[in-house]
Amino acid sequence: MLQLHSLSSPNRLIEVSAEFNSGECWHLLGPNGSGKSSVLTAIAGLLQIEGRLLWHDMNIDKPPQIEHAQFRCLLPQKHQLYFEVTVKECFFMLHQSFHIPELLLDTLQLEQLQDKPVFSLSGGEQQRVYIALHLTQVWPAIEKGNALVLLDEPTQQLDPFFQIKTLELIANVSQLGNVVIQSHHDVNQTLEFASHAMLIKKHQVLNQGKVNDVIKSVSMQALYNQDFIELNDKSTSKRYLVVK
Amino acid sequence: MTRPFSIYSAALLLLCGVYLLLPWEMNSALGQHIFINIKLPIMMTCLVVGFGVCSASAALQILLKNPLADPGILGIASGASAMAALYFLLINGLGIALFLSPLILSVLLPAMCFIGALLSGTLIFKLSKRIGFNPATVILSGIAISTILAAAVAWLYLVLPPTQLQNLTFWLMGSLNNANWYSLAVACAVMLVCLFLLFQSTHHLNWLLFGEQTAQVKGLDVYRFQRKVLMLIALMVGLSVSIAGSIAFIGLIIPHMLRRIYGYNNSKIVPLSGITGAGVLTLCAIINEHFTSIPLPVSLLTATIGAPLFIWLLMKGTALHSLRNTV
Repeated sequence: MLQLHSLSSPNRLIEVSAEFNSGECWHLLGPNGSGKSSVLTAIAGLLQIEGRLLWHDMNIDKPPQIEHAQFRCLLPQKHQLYFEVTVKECFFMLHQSFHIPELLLDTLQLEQLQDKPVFSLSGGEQQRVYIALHLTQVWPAIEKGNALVLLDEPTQQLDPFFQIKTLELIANVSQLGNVVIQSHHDVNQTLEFASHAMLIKKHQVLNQGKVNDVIKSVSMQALYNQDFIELNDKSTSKRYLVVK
Repeated sequence: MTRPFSIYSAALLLLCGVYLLLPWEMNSALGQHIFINIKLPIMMTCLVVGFGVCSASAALQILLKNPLADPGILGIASGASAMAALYFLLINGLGIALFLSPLILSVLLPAMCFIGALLSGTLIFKLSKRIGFNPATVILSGIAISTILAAAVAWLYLVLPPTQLQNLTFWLMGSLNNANWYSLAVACAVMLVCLFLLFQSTHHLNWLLFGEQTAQVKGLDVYRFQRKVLMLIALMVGLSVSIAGSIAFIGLIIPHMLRRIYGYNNSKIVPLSGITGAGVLTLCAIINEHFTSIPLPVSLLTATIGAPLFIWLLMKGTALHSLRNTV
């Protein structure tokens, strides 16, 4: 269980409080520059913050320690790699092992990318590599169900097929008992794959809770200043929000 | 994993053996004197400087996220050069040397260069910290400081007496023959400690390849680590420059060549660069010993051979990768 007690950071976050329970898959929604990444980096311990950050009653404020890396990982939004490293080497250099968990290898279809330099891959292929790279860091903890997985826009640059694959993978990870928090921009995918959502606007939490309670056309309109229409599919009783 | 290490170390030992033992008979007193007071110090210089410059450069390129970084870019070498120019002007040119004992004279030039290197290094840190410490500002302030110091050396060129001018030129182009046991003893000891600390942090350098955020999430205090490694590098380069002058190009070319073959794992590349650098300098010493009538400046050799080799390397591209399994 992860608890945020009024986290604040100048110009980044204002009094963010929340409780994320094991097995929950959270999506952070909000306009550009509203503070989604700030919440994630604050939880990762990379932001100078006031307030308290508790992971199962353990204080995990800044600075991150080596022990924290056993259970907490962060997929950053911008990837930095300055040299022509191959995919395999990436895993070895960050985790001291060439091993890529079977599930990640299959789901993200990395088998044929392994020996190529990361620079030579397309944007979407690179994103798949980075998702696997950062999840591998905490994979043993994920399997035990005590990992804290933070992902900043994991589906950016992915085609629809891999978007769904990735979101399913992330939902599965949370169902093992891990806490998963990701930022996201597609409201309908959030309705489909998230269990909970947090709406962030102007560095503050607008609303948070169960996905079906939080994501409504009215709240989305307040969040994005954009009109949405709600459609209902009677046969599956699923809701869809479409931009007006 | 250990195979390249053993092969490269064996090659280095072989080169040292060739240099030390080839034509000298140890029986005569003269032979022994040459062995102990000329050949051994030159070989030690090759080892200290080769390891220092090349391992430091390999680490520096990763730290500054810039494949072009070499000790010259940090401005450390130019601090030492300015001090050397000052030495040739004041001590030799104005005749202060006449009043100093031989012992002091033998360590004065290296000591002054080392102080110069550390001073310029500190200046660069302070400046980059002032404008926001990150790799880009370190490079920018390094270039700024080294330009100023290069200008200072150029001014001193104007006023130096002709005899000292030649000394300075030789020093600026790097020379393996300057070293003596006093300065080497200190340099060796400090260099060993620095190398040990640097080799210990190579897996953290690997993390840094993925950006500061990722390294930090892994549990590394990035700011402190960058500062620590930069200080180590400044110390190593300062030491190298102070005993052998500035040596061109090996710091740039050797880590690149090794990365083309073995990839980017710093736990391999940083130590291997050191071994290779020491080997290349020993090779220069062998060439100087047996193939030329006057001792050539080392930079002349490394740049003349190294630059064409570098072009070949760039054109060869990733083909070198296949060497991984043979060497």
